[in-house]
Amino acid sequence: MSKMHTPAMEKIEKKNAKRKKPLNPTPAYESWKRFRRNPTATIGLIVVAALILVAIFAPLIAPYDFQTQDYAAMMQKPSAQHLFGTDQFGRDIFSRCIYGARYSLIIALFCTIAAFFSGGLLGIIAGYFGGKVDTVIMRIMDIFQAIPMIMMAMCIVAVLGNGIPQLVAAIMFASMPTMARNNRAAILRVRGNDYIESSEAIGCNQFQLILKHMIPNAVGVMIIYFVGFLAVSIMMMSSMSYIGVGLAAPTPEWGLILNDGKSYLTSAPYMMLFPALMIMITCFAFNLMGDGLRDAFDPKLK
Amino acid sequence: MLKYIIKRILLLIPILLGVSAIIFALKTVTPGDPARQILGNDATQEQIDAKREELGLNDPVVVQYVRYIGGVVRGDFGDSYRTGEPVLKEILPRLKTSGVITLGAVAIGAFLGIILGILSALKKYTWVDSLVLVISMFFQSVPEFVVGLVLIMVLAVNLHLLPTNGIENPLGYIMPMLCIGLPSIASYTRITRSSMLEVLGEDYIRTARAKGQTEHNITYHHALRNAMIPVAQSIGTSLGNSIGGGMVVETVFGVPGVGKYIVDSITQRNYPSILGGALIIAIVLVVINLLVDIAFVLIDPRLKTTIISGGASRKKSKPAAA
Amino acid sequence: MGERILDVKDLVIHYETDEEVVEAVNKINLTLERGEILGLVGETGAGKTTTALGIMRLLPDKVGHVIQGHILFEGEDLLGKSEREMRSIRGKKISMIFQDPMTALNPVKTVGDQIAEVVELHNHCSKAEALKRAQEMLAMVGIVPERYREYPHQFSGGMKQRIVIAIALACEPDLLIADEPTTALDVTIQAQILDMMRKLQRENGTSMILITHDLGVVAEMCDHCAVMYAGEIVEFGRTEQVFDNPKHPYTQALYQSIPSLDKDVHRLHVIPGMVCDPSNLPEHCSFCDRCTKKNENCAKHDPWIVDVEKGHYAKCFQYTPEWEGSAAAAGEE
Repeated sequence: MSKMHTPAMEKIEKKNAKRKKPLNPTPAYESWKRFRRNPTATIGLIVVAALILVAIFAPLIAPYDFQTQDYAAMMQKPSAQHLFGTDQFGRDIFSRCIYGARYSLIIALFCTIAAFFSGGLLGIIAGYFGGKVDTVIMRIMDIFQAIPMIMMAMCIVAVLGNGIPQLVAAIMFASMPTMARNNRAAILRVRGNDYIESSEAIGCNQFQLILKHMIPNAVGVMIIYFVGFLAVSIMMMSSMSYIGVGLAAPTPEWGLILNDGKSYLTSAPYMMLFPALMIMITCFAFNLMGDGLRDAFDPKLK
Repeated sequence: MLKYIIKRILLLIPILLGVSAIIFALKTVTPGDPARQILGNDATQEQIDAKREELGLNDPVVVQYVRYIGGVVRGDFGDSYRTGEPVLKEILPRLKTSGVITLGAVAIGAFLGIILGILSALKKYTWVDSLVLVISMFFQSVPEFVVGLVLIMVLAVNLHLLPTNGIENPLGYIMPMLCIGLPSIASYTRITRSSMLEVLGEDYIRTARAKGQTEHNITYHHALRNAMIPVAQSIGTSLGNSIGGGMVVETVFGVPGVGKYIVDSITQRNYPSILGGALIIAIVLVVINLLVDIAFVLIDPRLKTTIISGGASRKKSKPAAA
Repeated sequence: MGERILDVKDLVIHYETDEEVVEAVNKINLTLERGEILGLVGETGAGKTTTALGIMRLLPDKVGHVIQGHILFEGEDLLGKSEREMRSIRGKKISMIFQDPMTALNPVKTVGDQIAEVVELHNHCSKAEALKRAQEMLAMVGIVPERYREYPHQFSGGMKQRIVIAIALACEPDLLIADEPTTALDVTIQAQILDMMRKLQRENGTSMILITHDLGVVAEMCDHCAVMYAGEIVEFGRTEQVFDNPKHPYTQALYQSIPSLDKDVHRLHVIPGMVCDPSNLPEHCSFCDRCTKKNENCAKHDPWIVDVEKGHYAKCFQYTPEWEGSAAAAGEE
């Protein structure tokens, strides 16, 4: 008898016996399985889902309107009536933070989509066509990259003025070089593979090539960048609002709420604590999720 | 080697031209008249017209741009609209302040990040690894200014250890450095971890084991130096981010650095100062990246051949096959 | 019969992951006399490298496990040694040459340093003495000693393998394990390297295990030969015995698949079928499905090792007394 039975084998046999469902070996399912097995990623996903629900149902959750000023209840400490306290105009900070989720998430989503359609697309074009197109696009991106992202965004806001579309445009422009670079790398990684060459060899046309081979293989990496950039844009947006070059009052954007509380840092720290926590939790959740996705889509990277 | 350095410096020229062109373009589409800005609201139309003529604002944009570039070549970055002082004279002393903060921040971020990265690579797939990941991820999720606010609340307001703002006291440098450094930990940790894991799986590590070398020496003498190559490469990128982060943090702490100077200039639409600041930052970034590249040759002997032979590839070059 | 330097008994090595257990090495027995060369032949995945790593105690962390068996080296069981004791054996008493010289050298250290490292570790000498020894070693493997200050990328593949050999031999080990030392090299370089290895082996009286899938190399270099299939040694004997009189159907099939220069054939002979999945080995003979001489016993039981002549063993039912009976029974039906 050459076959040995070891405890490890029994464990696996038991596991296989327990698995009643037939295996579904599609790549997407495998990725999902890996994602779910990762506890931190799952927590991230749950928090993100909760935030999205909060954003959708903000009017139902928030006890007050986000801009109603109540001079009878100014600068109150957190209490049962005002969970996160009130600001110098008597506005309920809890309600402002809840509505802030709506603004921050939507603006972040717009920024990310815009960034993908500008920088991302440029990167895909550069990566796919290569040669001169690639050189020209990437040289231009080099120039943009020599200007720090936040400075670029601030300059654009200075030109266009404060407001949500302006902010989206600013973040889009500022993130263009990074986006282009990442997406180009994702396409190049796929393009360099032999299976692209072999599908060219069996006579796939360009359309089929992009649709059937390149996009499915690059999409994992792009989703990772997408989720990661949501966190980046929330951070940029709040940083800009905080130093006064982002959105204009009284939008309940978290960075702006922090800016409102700036002068009361010593006397009423709670005014800054809660919006800061919201930013941290949101970005943390997005980053955890993004990292989980990274491991799920490309286990080799881990 | 010298040829390579010269080539890299020449590459700086189109980047600087591009950067100044972008800012110039932004300047021309910005609403508002710089002449009125300088002279204030009480100025008469004649005074404004005279000032416009003096600043050359009536010339076509291209002429203005060429004139500006001509000035830059002679070391003249224009005069600040606000103070009338030469921009270069205003920026240079601030550059030192920002430089100290940025270098300190990179040192903090790289030091902690690399240590955490090695730790999690050596303890891969254990709770230590997960904890390191979560910690570094947490710092990545906090905007620099929020780190700043928390530090001010704890270290300055409650514990009275450090001054809340300004750098009159050298201790004032500490908090800005931490604010920029801590969020950058995550990227160093991740790069160190993955490159360390990759290197530890290489055949030459097995060779070292087969020699009877101890695990400690294998980690620190054989693996670390190889694993540091991609980490060092990431310092260049990280510096760019640190300078960006510096703009926010200097504003939060009221530090008179280049970052705050640019932020102030942007809010005041003081274009010569913005332009000067942007160009100087671009020069600094390119020069630092060049220095980082030169430093690689010291770490990775394989690069010496590629650089000298002209192929200035920043990618990790695989050893040439026989 | 000289002194027995290595005696591997009933060695079983498994790779265990969350998903499966790979039975890489199954109850193998090997012996090696001092000063001799043992060839370990088999196709990819037969467990040759795993056996070697098992002897070095360098199986991949956490995944590779020695399930049972003994590895007696100079009379002492290596599996009972502490990690510290193993470290003083590796490089000093047992050295290993790895398959791919391109990646086996640390790219950021000079070759001199890399040879000197092993000398410094085991001979407890100064750095300068170790470097001097490194230069001697370079000269010994045919590289100009002055090149000790250069980095691996400045050498060609064949040169790198010479350096790897220099590292392995620097402390004059008693046993050298060479894991496909020439596979990654050009054919012309292969012969040079093998000649050099044999010369050095004779000069130093080193015992050697040569892992290869090249039967020609075995015929030229080895005193003994072991044929591995699916983690088992299916045939073992003196090289002349195994080559002149192959007994196991797998060995026979291997010889048939060697292209011959004298005969004009249209197609090369191939062994039909695939190696069985090492994570799901059958209870019966693992070569059964591909065997041309199988009978019903082969699909039911695992054959045992049979002495076919003095010092020549094969693991096949063909040579057991039961074979005659069952073959006769099969014929009657």
